Amino acid sequence: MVSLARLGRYVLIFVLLTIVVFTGIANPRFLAVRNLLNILLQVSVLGIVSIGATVLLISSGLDLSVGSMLSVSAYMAGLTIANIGSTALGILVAIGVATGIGAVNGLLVSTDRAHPFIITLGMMVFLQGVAIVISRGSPINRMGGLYELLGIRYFLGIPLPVVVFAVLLVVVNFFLRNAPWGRYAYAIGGNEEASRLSGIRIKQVKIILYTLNGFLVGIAALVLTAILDSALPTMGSGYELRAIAAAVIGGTPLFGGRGNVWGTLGGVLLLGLVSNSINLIGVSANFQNVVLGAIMVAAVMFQKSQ
Amino acid sequence: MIMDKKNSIVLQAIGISKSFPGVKALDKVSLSFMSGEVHGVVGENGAGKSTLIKIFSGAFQPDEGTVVMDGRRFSSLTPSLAQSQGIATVYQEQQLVPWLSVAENVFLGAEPRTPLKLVDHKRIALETEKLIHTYGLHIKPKQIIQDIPIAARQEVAIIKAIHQKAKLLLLDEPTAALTGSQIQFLFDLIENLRKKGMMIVYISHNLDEVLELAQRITVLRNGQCVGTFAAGSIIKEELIEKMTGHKLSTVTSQTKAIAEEKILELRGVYFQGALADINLSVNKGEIVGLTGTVDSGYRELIRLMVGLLHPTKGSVVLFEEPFSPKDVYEAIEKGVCFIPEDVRKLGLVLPLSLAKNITLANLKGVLQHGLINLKNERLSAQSYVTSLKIMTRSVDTEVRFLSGGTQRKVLFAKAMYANAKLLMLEEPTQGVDVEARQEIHRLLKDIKSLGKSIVVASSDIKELMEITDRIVALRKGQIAKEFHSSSTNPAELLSTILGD
Repeated sequence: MVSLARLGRYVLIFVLLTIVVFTGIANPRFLAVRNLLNILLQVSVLGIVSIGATVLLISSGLDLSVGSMLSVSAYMAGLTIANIGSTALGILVAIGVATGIGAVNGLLVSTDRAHPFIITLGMMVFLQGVAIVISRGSPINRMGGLYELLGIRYFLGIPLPVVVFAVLLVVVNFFLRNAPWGRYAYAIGGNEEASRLSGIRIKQVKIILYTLNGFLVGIAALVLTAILDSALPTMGSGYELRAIAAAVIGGTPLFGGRGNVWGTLGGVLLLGLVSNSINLIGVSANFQNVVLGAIMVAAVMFQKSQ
Repeated sequence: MIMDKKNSIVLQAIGISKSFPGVKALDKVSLSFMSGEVHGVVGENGAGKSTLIKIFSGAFQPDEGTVVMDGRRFSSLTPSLAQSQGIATVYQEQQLVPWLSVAENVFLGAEPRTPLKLVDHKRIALETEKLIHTYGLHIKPKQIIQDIPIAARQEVAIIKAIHQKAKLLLLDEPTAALTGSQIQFLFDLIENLRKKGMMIVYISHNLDEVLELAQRITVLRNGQCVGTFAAGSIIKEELIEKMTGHKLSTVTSQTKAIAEEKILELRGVYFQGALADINLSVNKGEIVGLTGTVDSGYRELIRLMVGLLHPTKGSVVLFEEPFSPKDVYEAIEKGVCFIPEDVRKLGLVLPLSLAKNITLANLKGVLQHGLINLKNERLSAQSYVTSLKIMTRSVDTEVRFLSGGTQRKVLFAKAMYANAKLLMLEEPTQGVDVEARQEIHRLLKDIKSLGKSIVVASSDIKELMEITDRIVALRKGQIAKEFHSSSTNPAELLSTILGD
């Protein structure tokens, strides 16, 4: 028997195919391999952030600070590269800063003193401030080695950021299924009190999950910095909500206990394809958000009706 | 109030079927309810009782069949449609707003208005008072729901239904949370309503109650209607046979604990205002019962024994070492497992599969190089499904699809998988049908014969006398008396608990 959740996934695939076919007819350039790779490249940063969002949502947590976390860690990496000139150190800084912030979020959430929504909302505002303070509002251009490493390189004809996204999908999926903390994420999301009474150390698990989320944001920050070849103090804004939207469109409910990263891949692709189709069909870019918003609501309403 | 003449059919179900993934919950069930009768519906867990109620209340839509209410045919009901047809449901967990008053709840959604179109609080209070008076209830209109006992909340739900001009009242396990005198009061209320022409559908696993109250009794088995019987023409044993499909065998053999090896000991334990000077021990291979009234402290006591609460004075000793775990993980490491009463809220992770629930408290058991071996996990779970006779299609079935009794067995499997040496159970057969109850009792004896110790906290005296070796009766936070289960009787036990 086909379960409803699985049916939802089929519907998502069907919607994706419909968009592909219609846009392909309207503008044959859409189906060119180069354009398809371009779409994947465009969604790779969102995709990496969305993997983290999925893991947190499964455990019925969430992190609204990922956008400004991305900005801060990218900008710190940019500062390091511009001033010291070491790409390796820049990479370490980006991942270190984001992972550290993720761990702090985890620590704060695990105290159970407030809902993660409020805690990470506060963190989001705080980090936005930090990004403006350290940058004084100005971007850093020319990422040199990082740009050459991640921004323009291909692996078997595929842009490297897409490869990074794909690898992370496979790895996180594997750990969600097979690592104890992956199982505990589902258990805590499904019933936190029963999990506690089963001897699961909830605090530890939450800290691990939020730290992992920070780590993924660090990688996303590096990828985005490399693609843009610059670091901006506001480059991550908006990612938090789009990442959650992608995960929810992909079938992970806001109340947790279920979901997986493959669904989220579908959600990310849907968002990316819609943006791209709108461009290619020749609709004004101003309409993009109107259409995207409508699709998000429609997709989530459909999930909810199950 | 209700003008139907006696013995007319109020509600009729014709050929109702309903399936869920993996189970056919109802299979072409037909039955009819008449005005002025209490109609008992009995069956084992998973027989389809709750599903049937939910179809009448509009919570579920049947896959096929028709519901006829007052001559109108419906292929399915919605909650609002059911309500407008005069069908009211009182669930175990009621749908009252906890922070509103009794009167506000009774009138919720139908508030009388003042000429300025504001809510007429005076009239609400006055009319509620009238209802309370008519039915002799012990509540006041202005009391806030969350401040009144569960029994009183149920009464509020019932007068709310009366106020909404319900013709048919669906009661699902209404006595589950009540004590003796409260139950009698509820019975009087039901009888009173019946005489006024109300139709009452009474679902319960307690056959004595159903036999006492109902005029007719319908038996469900595996989603099918076995038959409807006049209450006077059938006895309990026959009902059980019809529910289970075979003759009842009782577990009576009582094996004596041989070795007196102390596993757990409480020495002079105090806990806040709830418990004072508790001294007691649990031996290897022994089943100890804890009982008392709701406020006697026996529920706090079992939580102290599993380390969820810590004594304010005195000490708990496990295997001759002080036992004061800082979290449940540590308690389970030391072999102490707690199975709480509220299985769905505190015991199980409903969206996870049966296999994943069983291994949850001891994931180490299926780890290989730090990762879960999914194949081994399913195999281990399968062995428990077989040995505990857990009714499921597969170990991959999500536990939310299992019946209440089966869900409890999953928790036993989970505790055994976690290598529990000391099992702490709270109301282990609450809401479970006759046969599952027998099976759970048998299971406990099996676990005991493996040399494990079991503590059962229960308000069910008969159950404790059947399965335990010793019973510790509490009263007002102190141990009133300890009994050997084989040399006491219910009357003695009950009078100790109540302090007469």
